[in-house]
Amino acid sequence: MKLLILLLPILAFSNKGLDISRKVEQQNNGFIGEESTITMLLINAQGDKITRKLVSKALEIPKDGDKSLITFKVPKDVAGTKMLTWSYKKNDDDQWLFLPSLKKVKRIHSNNKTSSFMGSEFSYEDLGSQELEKYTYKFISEDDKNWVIERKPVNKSGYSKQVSTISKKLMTATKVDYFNKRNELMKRAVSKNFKAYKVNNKKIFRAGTIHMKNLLTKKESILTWSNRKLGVKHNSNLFKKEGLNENF
Amino acid sequence: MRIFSLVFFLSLNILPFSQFDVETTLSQRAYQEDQNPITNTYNTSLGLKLSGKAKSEEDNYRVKVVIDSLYDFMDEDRFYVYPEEAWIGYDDGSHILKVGFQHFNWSSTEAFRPSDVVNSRNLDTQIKNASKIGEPMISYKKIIGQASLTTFVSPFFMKPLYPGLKSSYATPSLPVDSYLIFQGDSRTDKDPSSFQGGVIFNFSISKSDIALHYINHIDRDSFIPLIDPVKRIITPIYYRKQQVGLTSQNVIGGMILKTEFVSRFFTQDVINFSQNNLKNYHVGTIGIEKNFPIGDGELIFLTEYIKAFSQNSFQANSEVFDNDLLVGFRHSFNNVNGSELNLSLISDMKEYNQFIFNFSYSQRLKNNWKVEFGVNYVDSEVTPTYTGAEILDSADFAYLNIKKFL
Repeated sequence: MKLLILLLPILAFSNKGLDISRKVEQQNNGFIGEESTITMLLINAQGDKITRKLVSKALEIPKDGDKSLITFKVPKDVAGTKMLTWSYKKNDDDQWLFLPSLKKVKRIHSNNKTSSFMGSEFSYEDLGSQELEKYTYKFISEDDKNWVIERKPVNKSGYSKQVSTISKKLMTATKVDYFNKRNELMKRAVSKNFKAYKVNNKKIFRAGTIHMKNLLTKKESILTWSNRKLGVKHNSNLFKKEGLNENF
Repeated sequence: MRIFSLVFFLSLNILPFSQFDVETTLSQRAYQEDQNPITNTYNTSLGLKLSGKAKSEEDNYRVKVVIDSLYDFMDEDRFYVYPEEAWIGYDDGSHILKVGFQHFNWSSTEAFRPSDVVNSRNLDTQIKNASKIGEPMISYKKIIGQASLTTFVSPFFMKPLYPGLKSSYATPSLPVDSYLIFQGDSRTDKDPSSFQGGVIFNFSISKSDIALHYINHIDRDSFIPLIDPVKRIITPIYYRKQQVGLTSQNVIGGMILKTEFVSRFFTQDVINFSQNNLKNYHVGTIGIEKNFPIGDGELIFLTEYIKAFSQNSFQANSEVFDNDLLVGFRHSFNNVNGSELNLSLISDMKEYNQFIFNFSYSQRLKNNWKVEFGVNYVDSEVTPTYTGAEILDSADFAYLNIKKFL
């Protein structure tokens, strides 16, 4: 009994982290469908800059992971390549790649989460669907404006943990610290330029830019969203592998 | 054809969302010296690929044109211009109708693709999976839940593009001249009007993508050679073939299992014409792909095996790839330059000593520039059918391509 009394505060804190994360997820649910153009600026340690451009579409699947379709636009040698992802709350994601030069739809394995996305400081894991069930949560601290939550991956990941600063007003992360397997602070993502989108009388905030800095290599990547729309009623066939080689 | 071109031109200009791209490739090939005074040891060519696409505001009406061309400064026969795609289409998300030059690919495997027989190919490009030439077709696809049914008909036969006499990459030992089509009753002619068509049913079950197909066509991947000993030329006689098959891609544990199995059937007329050298037969391929994360990138290991099953051993041996094993690695560095390294080895598991080795490396130099270089090396004993790797035994070459995208 004494042991249980001693553990109660810890259990309470653990649940608080999960509760906050659940509230954040619920607040960000209900977007129905989303589309945007994403510009990615890659900056190496010497300050050289390269730009990438892609079009992103997402379809919300109630009570399960979302479906997303990314079409690469720049650089031109990969223009027209598409990546379709069906994410799930618990199971491994399904992923397909459409290669325009071969007119071929290829199933790919989703175990490449730790790989860099198009040579950027973002990994596939960072940009993939952030389902609540894929992490365990721990409440760290709070002030008037923010909560700080630590989360650890349940499945295979490139990180040992992530520490997120979540705005109480925006109900979304404004800063995420990524720790590598040696528990070193490896990367920091800072989100800015938030904009409110109204979908069915619900206000959903989305970041206009995410600036990811690799603190070990000094390389940086900045994602900037434009032409973003929420509440888009996509044709669900757009997110089927059968339609991948048809749209452009 | 003029009306068709005019409709394309007008569509590309009228439809509001249009995009035009240009890809130029300066290519240098250096062949192993083959002691043949006719063939070139070096090729320097300029390739130009033009593409344009447009769609209506509602995204229903679409038009796409991709024209591929190449001019070789050292071989005047090595000049071609053909459409990879040139079609007008309607797509409401569930029904997709296209009319014009199209090409299809529903294969699951990477190297050995017995299912991938639709469309003529440009045999000047590479021995396995040479580039496809668009063919005039009407196609219709219906998306039904997690499945789709595609049908296509093609009213014309289009011959493959063979390398010319000066090319060290020449496929047969003698130059190929024109073509003939077996029309039945021992009759052959050059009339290209010939009905071809097929049906493909794609569906997914759990972590498996499966496609079933039926094709009735004039096969371009094999022919009966008519040899003129005086002029020393080969005229290929193409014939009708039916094919039913199954392809699948399955996620199993940490890897992807890929399979293709096809059965090919001939009419009695074709069997008689071939003097019983052709019999109905089957071809199967099985492959495994497994990726390993390495730093920011990934290493992909690939192995595939192909086997022909025929009562006629001559016919099985006539397949370019039979009883062959491929082992390959691809390292995608996932860096800003998109660097990629490929290594593959195809080895004949029969009694003949044959192997094909490929190495290639590519990376972007800047956003719109890309460099590729590599080596193709073939070592082969001569087989009785002369259809395997020995075709390219003297065509080892190194290449350097510099591409500019506009």
